[in-house]
Amino acid sequence: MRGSFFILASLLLPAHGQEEGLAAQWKDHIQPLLEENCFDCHGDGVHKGELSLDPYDSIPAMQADRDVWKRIRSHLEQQLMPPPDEFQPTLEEREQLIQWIDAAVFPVDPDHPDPGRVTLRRLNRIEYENTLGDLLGKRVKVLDLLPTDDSGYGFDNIGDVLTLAPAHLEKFLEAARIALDEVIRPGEMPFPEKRVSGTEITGEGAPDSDGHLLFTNGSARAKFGRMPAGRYQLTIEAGGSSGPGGAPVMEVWLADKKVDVRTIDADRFEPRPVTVEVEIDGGSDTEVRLDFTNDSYDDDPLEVENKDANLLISAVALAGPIDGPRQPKPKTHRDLLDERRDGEATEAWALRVFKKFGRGAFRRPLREGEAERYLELVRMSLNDGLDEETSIRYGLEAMLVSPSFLFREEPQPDPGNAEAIHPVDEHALASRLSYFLWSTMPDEALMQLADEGKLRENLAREIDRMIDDDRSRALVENFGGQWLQLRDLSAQFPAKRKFPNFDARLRSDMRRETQMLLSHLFHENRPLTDLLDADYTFVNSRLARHYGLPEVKGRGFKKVSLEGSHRRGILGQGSFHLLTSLPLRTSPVMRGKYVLENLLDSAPPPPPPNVPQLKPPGRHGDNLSLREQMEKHREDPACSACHALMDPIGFGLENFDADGSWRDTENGKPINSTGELLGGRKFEGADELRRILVNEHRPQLLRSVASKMLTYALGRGTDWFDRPAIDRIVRETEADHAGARSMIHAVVRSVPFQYRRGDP
Amino acid sequence: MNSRRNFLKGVAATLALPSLESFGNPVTAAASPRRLAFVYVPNGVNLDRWLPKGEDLALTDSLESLAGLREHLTLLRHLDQDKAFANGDGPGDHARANASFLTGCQARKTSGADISVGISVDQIAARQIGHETRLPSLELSTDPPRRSGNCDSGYSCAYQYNLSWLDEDTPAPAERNPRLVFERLFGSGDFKEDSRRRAYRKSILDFVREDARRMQRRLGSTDRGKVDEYLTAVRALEQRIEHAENHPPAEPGMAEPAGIPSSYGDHIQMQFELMALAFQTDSTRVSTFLMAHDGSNRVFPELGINNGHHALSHHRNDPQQLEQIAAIDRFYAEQFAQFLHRLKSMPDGEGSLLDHSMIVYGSGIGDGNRHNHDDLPLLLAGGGGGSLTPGRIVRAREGTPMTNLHLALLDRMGVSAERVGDSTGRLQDI
Repeated sequence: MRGSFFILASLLLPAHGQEEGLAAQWKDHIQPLLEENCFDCHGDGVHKGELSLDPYDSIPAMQADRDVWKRIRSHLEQQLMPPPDEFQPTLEEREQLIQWIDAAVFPVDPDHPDPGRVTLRRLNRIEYENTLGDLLGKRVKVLDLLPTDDSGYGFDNIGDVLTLAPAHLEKFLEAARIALDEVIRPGEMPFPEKRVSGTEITGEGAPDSDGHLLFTNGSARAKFGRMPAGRYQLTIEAGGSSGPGGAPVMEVWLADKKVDVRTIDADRFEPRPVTVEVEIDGGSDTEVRLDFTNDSYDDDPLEVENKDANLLISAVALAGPIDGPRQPKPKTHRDLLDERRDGEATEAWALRVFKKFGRGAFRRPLREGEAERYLELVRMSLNDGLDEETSIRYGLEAMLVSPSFLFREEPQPDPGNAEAIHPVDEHALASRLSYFLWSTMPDEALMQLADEGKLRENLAREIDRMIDDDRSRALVENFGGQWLQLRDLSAQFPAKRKFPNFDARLRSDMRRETQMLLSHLFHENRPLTDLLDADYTFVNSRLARHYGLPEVKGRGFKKVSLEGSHRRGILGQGSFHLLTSLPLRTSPVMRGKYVLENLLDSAPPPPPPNVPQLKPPGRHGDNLSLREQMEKHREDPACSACHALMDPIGFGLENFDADGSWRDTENGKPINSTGELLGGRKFEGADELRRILVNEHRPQLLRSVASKMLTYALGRGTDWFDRPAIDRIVRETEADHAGARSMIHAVVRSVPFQYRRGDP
Repeated sequence: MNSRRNFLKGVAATLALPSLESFGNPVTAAASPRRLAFVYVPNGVNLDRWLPKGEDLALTDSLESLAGLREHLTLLRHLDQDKAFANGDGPGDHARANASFLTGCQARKTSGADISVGISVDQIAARQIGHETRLPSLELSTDPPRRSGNCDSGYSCAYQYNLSWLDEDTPAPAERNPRLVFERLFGSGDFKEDSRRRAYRKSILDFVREDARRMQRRLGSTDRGKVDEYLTAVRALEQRIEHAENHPPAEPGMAEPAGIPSSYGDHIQMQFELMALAFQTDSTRVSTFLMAHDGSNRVFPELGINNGHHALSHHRNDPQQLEQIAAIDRFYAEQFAQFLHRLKSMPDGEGSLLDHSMIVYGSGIGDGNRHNHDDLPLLLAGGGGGSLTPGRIVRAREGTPMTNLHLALLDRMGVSAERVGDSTGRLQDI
């Protein structure tokens, strides 16, 4: 351990001294270590795998190639290099190398952290649809209209990757038009209407699937109850069939007065409206009586279609009083356009609408003159002879394709100065919060706080409020859906011929189970280690049966204890098993990779090309078990380094079949679920593996969630200079019993979430 | 399957039309315009079953369905996509195969920041001749929507899911919903409403351009670049609207598709049909079609194949897997054959649409097991308006960039370009 101490001591030196110290360490200690362990393949002119360490004779040269050194660092850390069949450095030596690389090539100054830069983010399609819905007060389905978003760093909300091609803008125009069509109702509204449907009609005749049928002479009655006095438009939707005596005749009676007589020509299956204006005195209940008066019937008709006269009433409606006020505009229309005030000029009205809508759409108060500019469009449209509401709508449509709506601008003083670091302003912070936790725009409470400049001081309270809000489902669906790949479940299906009982409902139950676990962690601030060893889960009766858990009664999902079950945590959940299996078999490699990548913050490098997949075991020829095949496969040193990381994890989980059910045998042989983790730690079975992961890899688990969550929250990939921020998130979370909600707080408090750097 | 029925009815209706020349842009017999399209097949093929055995263009086995079209097909040998190889960038052959296919450029290895590859051949053409038609180009796909964001080995998903690139950092997203393709091509059917909407849009675009300029003044350089993308899109849309005004939509001759058919084959056929109609009505002359992205792990239950295509493509010379790959290759070739027959059945000037087309069909990977990008499996269909000599195998010199083919095709489209990606010249004798 001499080396570790020596490095740590040197880190305490003052800055310039530290640089000299690092250079001295390079010469005395680090370079010789590299020469001894790496240069056979990567130095002195040899450059296997296209890596030569020769050019790196100084720290600045290394810093100039940080991408290369990131790979070197991760290969050392994951013990991928030197290859297993070569002489190995000791663990202490590895640790020394990594620490030196961190200090020399990736130096960070926790007192002056670099918050990095988030590239201007376009709303992705989910955020777009949610934001539009919140703005308009009505959900409009436009998701399928918009092009799929590309993703990077595992998420689809990354500013650098969210490009904007003409095809996007075209669809945004279209989506804005469709959405406003659904919300704004220009022109006059109809009068209030009361409707009695065919099945509510009483009297003679009989109810029919299409309404009320009078098959012999008689009266049908539509009861309206008490109606205010006035003139009304009475509409009867009627149809019928003719008999030998001709088409049915309908008499319309109101308060014992015959108000109309009509011959009904419309077909029985395509009733048409008949209207008549009537006077209602309002003194008593209103009843409309409809009499069928000319029934005729022929047993032996010449013309088959004139066999039997019938009258069908499919609805009766009263609209009015038509001398009274019309129906109010729909609430969403009124919320958007407001009422025009008495004597208010059109432009003043429009301006009010734009200021209110623009504040929401742009997620900030409008700038000086910004709303006024949109009046241009109103004027133009009025000039074209369009009505006022349509003209104002025109401005709103433009706002919905404005870059201020489509992009999340984060204004900062001195944006062109890379040295300038500023806190993101309060409105941008509100948006960062709301898109992180809700995938939509800030609500009024957040906007209010930002307007008053009080969001930062109330941050903790607001985060809790937001997590408690129903909209935080978006965090589970979008963050969880991508981090834990739950979105991919819909593409997974165990092969019917091997798993005949598996069905799509079971699959969606599995997704639901994992979502509920995640949601529970956030809501109850459960320790993140529950991800691996929660002694409870959420199942319905179907899933409980599939898992072999005690029976669950009723229809819905229930929280159940996992006492005595092997299914603790995500590694026991069907969603994970499906995602890491092929249709016909499990994939220990995919399982190991999933765990390393998503839960232990150590994604193995991708496989070299030319590597074949394994075939399903026992198909023909050798009857090796999957495990035996894989062990053979791992004899190749090119493969063994990485597979020694991945496979054992997967082997430990082999009792979980490709459909998520438990099995004790494979091809008639008992499952061998023993494994040996890197460093020689041996285990048997899922339970022991899980205990090792929880007890010995807790820091990696927290780090993994922290870096994924930070990536998602920021909308950019994390980089080496984010290390202090991630360290701190992990530290703060750990200090608060590793709570999932605590981590959200720590992410929001972190430097990269709170600050922006300029951009040269 | 209602949409399928409508669709077939639509096809019949097209065939029954007396003369298509009376719709849209008159296509003069003297000079039928040439059409250019690229159709992508993912994950390479079972070469042994795909390539003809002898010197002659014998279309057998995986390509058997194309046998009746032999005189319209050229099989190309020894064309490479060198930029799909690692060239020092490590793993990620699927992302690179997809990204380089039409660009001939090495995709910058990034998961997000600084995406960069290059403009694609179809977009080079669209830039120069796009104004002559209603739509500058038409990008189609039948890939399912993407889900979680993990793509190939440290490459952003943008590389692996897009064939067409407007410029080096902006992919042109493809449309997978036939109904939306139809509306783009033929409008809503209400001419007056469409024209009112266009006028409306033009003033909105004009207006938000000013918004964008104001915003740009407040931003740092990277963010300004993002708003540049926006401004470019505004300009492109304005041009598109102008083209639409100058080129009223043609009569589609088919009912509007209801949406995305549930069967993969039907979906592919519907997209092909729309491409054919777009060409026939001269609504565009340039198109790309990503049948599935490279690395696609689609299963083919209709062929009795439960293993994913990508998983199978790492076949390790297992005869059973190779057999299944051949079945998938055959499936894709059959789809293509149907499309070519359709083009052949469409009169266009003197001859058929197929005579005036140049359709490249193939994959950016040769053998899925080797992940190689040289001697790619490629077909060139159509007569190129008399400028191609199909019915044979064209053997380029070994190591010829595939982009030399692109450049040769651009020449025939009347598009002047000095190079496409890594091209070194024009592919001769095609």
